[in-house]
Amino acid sequence: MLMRKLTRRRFLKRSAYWLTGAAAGSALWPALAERGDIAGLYPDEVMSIDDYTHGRIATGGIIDAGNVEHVKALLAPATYIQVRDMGRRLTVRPTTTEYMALGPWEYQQATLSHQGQARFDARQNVVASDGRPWIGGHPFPNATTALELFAGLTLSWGRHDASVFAVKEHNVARSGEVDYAYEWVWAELAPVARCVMEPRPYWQAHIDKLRFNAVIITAPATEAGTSYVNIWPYDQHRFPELYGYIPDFRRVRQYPTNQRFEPLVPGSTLYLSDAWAAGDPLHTWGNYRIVGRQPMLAGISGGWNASHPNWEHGVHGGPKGETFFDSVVEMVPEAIVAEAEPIAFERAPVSKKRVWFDARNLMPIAMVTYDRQGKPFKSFDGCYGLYEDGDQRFLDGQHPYWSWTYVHAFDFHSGRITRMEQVRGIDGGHRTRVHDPAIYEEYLTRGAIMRLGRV
Amino acid sequence: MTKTIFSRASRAVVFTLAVVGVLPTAQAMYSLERIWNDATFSTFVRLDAAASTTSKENPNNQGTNRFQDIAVDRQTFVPPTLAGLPVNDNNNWALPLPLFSDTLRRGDLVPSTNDNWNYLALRGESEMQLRFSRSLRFVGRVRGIYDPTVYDEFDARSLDGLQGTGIIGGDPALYHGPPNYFEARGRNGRSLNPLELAGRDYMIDAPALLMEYRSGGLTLRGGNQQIAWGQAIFFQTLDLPNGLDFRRHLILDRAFEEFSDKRVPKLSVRATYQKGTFVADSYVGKFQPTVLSNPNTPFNIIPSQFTVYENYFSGDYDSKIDGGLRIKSDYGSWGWQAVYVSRYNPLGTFSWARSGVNSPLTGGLGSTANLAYAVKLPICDGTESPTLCRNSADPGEALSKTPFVPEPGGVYTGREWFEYAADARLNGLEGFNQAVREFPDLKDVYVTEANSVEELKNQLDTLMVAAGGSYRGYIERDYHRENVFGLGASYVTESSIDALNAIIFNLEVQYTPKRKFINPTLSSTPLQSDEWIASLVMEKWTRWTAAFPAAYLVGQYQFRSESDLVGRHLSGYGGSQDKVADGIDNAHYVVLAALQPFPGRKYVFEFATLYDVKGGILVQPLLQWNIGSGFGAEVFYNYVNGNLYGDRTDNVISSINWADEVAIRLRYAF
Repeated sequence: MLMRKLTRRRFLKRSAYWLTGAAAGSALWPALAERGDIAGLYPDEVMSIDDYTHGRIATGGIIDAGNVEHVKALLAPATYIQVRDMGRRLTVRPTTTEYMALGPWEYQQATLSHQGQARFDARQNVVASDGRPWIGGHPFPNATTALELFAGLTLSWGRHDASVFAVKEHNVARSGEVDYAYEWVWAELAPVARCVMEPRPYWQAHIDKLRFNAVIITAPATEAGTSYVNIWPYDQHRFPELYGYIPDFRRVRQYPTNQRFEPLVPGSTLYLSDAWAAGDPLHTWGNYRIVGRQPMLAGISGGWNASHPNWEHGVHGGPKGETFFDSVVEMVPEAIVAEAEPIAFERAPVSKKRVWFDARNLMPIAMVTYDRQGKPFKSFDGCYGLYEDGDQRFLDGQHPYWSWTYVHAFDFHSGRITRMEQVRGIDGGHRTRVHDPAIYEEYLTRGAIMRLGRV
Repeated sequence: MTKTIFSRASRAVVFTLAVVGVLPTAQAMYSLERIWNDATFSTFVRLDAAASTTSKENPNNQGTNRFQDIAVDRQTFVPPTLAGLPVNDNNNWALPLPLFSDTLRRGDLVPSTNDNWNYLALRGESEMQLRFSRSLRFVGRVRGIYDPTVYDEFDARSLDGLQGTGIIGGDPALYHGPPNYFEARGRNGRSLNPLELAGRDYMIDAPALLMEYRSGGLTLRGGNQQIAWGQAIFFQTLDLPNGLDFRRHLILDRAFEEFSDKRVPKLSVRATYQKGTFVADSYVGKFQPTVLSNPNTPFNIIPSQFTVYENYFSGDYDSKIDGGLRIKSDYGSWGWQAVYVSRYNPLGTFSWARSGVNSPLTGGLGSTANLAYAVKLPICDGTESPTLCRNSADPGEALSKTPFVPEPGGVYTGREWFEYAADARLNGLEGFNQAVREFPDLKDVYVTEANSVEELKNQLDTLMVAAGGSYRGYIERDYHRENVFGLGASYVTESSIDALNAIIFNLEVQYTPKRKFINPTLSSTPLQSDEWIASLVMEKWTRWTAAFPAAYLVGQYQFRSESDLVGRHLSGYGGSQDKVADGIDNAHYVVLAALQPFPGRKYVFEFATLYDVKGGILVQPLLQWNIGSGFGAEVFYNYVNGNLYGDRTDNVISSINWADEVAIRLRYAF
């Protein structure tokens, strides 16, 4: 009890630190752009868990039910509950300070090169200084509004021009039983704001589009072939065209574009709307606002399991020891907390979302959605990182691959957890890869999902 | 012209297969290790069961014939041509024969059956995919079905000795023993589907066995495959490439699967090309017909008083080539498509066939007829002077040159004849007359064309008594080429009013000039007319509450100018035991369906109904349970009512009026 009071008192003190603007805030980006490193920009207390907890938890140590109270204020609400009550453990890594380790090398470069050139046009779409679509990198690295935060995220999800993620998904019931397991491919390709792939920055034939995106279920047999293709207009007031291939029908079916709050497969807690914490067009959500800034514990590096030939992660926790991936976290010295509400969806089950953005690279590090009664509905946390571990590396060209490595999605209502991990490959020859123009024909057309569907 | 096109098409098939085989050499092939590591294997097993919820039984089968328990008086009459009477309205089959009449209850001769099961089968499917390069892969899927045959079965051997011979005509595997649930055989005994192995209680086939090559927007597939161009539940307006397989639970499986499990795979090459929103999809393949259920199986739709000769091989249809092209594109909210297919209509047509089966007339009247026939002058054209001349050694031989064979398990009375003609959407009166016209040896055995239902009933009762029981009718199935043209348009609404927003309209129109239909007279000359089929489909996903995922709602309407939903010509509609079919002008069908997933999609409730505006309805509520860990289940109920109002034979649903059932499917995938 005493410990809780102390922790709360310390948290309130620290909150005041952030709310009074003493945090790096808007001063971060110029310094980060100049130095390429955050060393010295933040107090030691938010750079190191050792300092934050006065040695009660050390870098390299484990956060578990026995010590989680010391860092309750640094964890997303669901993560805290999972550690306290469900046996989840978090390994603490040193804080990443280097800017180029916080995103794909070319994207980070483009962000630096193009800073200051972005603006919103009359329709509140992000454009370059010449009024044409954005040219690559984050348009608002020094974001001061929630709209800028979400605009940058919506413009580029995975921060590569084209990506194929081979994904394994396990859905865990409250009982700890893995009752639904899937393998699927997530593909996304940007025809604009391209940093690597030619032609760049625009694929002229599709300059009116923001992205092509597909999800293709490859296993188990009962769901294999279930596929969806989203074709996003650049105009962020318009919904993507949505086509689905349902194996039962053996044909491509067009879907209304606003049905984005549906689980794609049985047992999963994931909606299209949840993707990257910005799964819908920017202006189909509104009331964007920043509600706070705080230090966080989140997965920023070290999530790549190079020791497994397929990059699969160990699991632990929950009633059967299979509920959570072996997780790593590190101090994020400054997270920007922003909220938004769906405004273009009749009877959406979500009333708002709260997203924690890492102030350094403006990637989402946690998200909580709320139901229509305002109660927490689903929580997401995961881990990014460079795909290098000692002398083992996975390159996306000249540089180590940077991407997400795993994600947990927790449903507060049902207690179900969906955990997904990016793996080297899944059956059928689907391999994680980026910046390959063939991804378009292979995964992102209606012909592609028909071909990948059940023959 | 058509022959030339398809001669070229067949060369194209060979060429494309060669290309699919050769192109990989230009690709970076994967190592054997990678091919093996990337190979996918998946299997599911499923138990399908359907139990009848009604005392009604399939009347097309021997043991459940409508007349099994009905005693019918058979009054015999003097054949006018036997007595040398002038054939006119006053004399035709109007003089009773006092000594040879009887009262017959069909069930006294043909054992009745009583089934509670409509369907019970264990099914497994295994699929393997091998990827040889980024562009080339192999897909093989094998399907196996075993039916434990727990049904109360009719066995044709139970009729052995009746009418002297029992049933001796037709394919022994289909007509001489217990029901054969799976073999689809030509009259030479060969399987209609080249990649299918089947027996009485099992079938193994390969719905997919193909190589796929992809380059840019082009995808080529060569091998055994199904091609789905369908866009609707129950309707197949532009779903033209494949015939259907009715052996597995007819069309009474889960409606939302449309026809995905029913399309008959065919050896074909399919090329799909997409550029932007434009998609061209074409195929060339070996013609494969629709597969109909065998006699006396639960979902048999051909009255088992018929013996069918399948001419797929003997008519050389197995060497015919189908082909088609479909182009589609979208422009914002609008889309369009155009289709052209040159194909053999997979349903084909049925017509009277020379049986080639020599079976004697038996019984008192039969012996008298044999004697009367024997005293006629031999080697004389009996068809011209039936009173004095004969064309064959005996009536059995004469009848073997016709479609009518005196065998048990056929039509026993005039009433039965007309009842079943109406059921099958045939013209009982003209059908008989057409047989007499096309097979003159019938006149040799004193048969005459009839002028009225009453007259024909008299004649038929007499013939049946003379046969010593019943006549079986022999028909043959042939196929005809047709050119099908289709156009379609789609539109997605945008509205600030939620109820009107995002409704997907899809209009499809099919036009087939000179389509051939089964002639309701079973003439060897099929009916021919230009057919229009138009369908309007409206789909919408709507979320009723925040708690449940969106529901899928669909409304469909189809207009058909010439045929019913299964392809029977509408001029055969409207008959009854006492009335000749007078036809209906056109057919109208309405489908309403809905799908409502529960939160988490663990359960999905579905509802589908097919309504024939002439008075028939099929309603199918279904609950799907995704149990998890590979298990799943579906429970559904088929409510069938072909007697809502109007004449029973004016709607298509009445053809399966007996099929009310509750069904369950349990599956496990691994």
